[in-house]
Amino acid sequence: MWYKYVLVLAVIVIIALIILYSQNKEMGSPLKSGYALTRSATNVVMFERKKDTGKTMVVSAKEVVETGDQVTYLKDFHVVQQKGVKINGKDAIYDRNRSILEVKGPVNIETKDGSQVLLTGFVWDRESQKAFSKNPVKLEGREGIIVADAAEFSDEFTQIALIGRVHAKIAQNFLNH
Amino acid sequence: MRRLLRIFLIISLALPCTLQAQTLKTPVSASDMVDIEADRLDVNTKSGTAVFKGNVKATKADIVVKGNMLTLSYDTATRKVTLLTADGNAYILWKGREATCSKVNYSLVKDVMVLTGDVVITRDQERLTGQKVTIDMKNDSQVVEGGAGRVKVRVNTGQNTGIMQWGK
Repeated sequence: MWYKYVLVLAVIVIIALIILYSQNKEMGSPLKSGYALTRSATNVVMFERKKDTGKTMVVSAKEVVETGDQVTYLKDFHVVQQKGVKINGKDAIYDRNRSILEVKGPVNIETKDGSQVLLTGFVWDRESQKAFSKNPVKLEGREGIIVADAAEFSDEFTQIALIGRVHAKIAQNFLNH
Repeated sequence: MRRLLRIFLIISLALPCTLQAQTLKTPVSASDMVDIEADRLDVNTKSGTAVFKGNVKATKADIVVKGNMLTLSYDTATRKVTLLTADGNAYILWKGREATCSKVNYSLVKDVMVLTGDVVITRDQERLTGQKVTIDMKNDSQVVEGGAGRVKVRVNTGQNTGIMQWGK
């Protein structure tokens, strides 16, 4: 009769060992690079504060999908930099490892001085503070328009270079807002 | 057929509104507009300059300015364009006169144009050369300076109004 108790006890010990072993394996194994944990949320507002300058940036989006490989997908988003630019767009991908924001489709940038820049897709390297678009660009002031084939931005969007077939139709007080 | 007519009516009512939205928000008279074409434009919002580079052509009413580089300087307080500077192989066309020089400074506030460096102004057969020419666009007057060289003028005596407006 006693051997039955010993058998049950042995089974319990084996099960306990299996559970313990499997738990240890899960805790100890790092995530493989190809393994992407994904989380998503709607109507998200994110705040970021730069350590060196103390400047803040607010990113709000209707939908955010974040993957384990440090990539964030934004839909219907607004970026507002403290004392800086405002960016509105439809779709964007933010690579947190490289600090690169890639906007796809139509995008509107409002510079610090109030100028409106209309682009179709652009890439913003936040590390070097440089951005560019290889697609046609339109710079709109209250009393004039400048169009070009491509654009480059630097120094927190205070320097704008319009490249290729630049055509400006402006009033004398074009830059007056 | 009635349905088609209704659709046409809706489109014709909507179209002018759409077109109007695409035009400039504030009406500006054509004489106040500056039309500029170039290969590249660099805007520095901090220093208040806009530099057009490469085959630049600027048109304001009946004045045409061409050059390798054109700089618009604007008052950082009022944000109004005050000065237009053309550098390198500058060419100006105004009131039937053509001019070539090294540099043009066109004050939009005073409506005064200053041409410097090997200035040559021509009108038909007439020709004027100097090192500095100041043209008052409002009063239609010119001051020509020879610099190190001498001012040279070739006039057509048969005409009442010439390159220097002597007939006025």
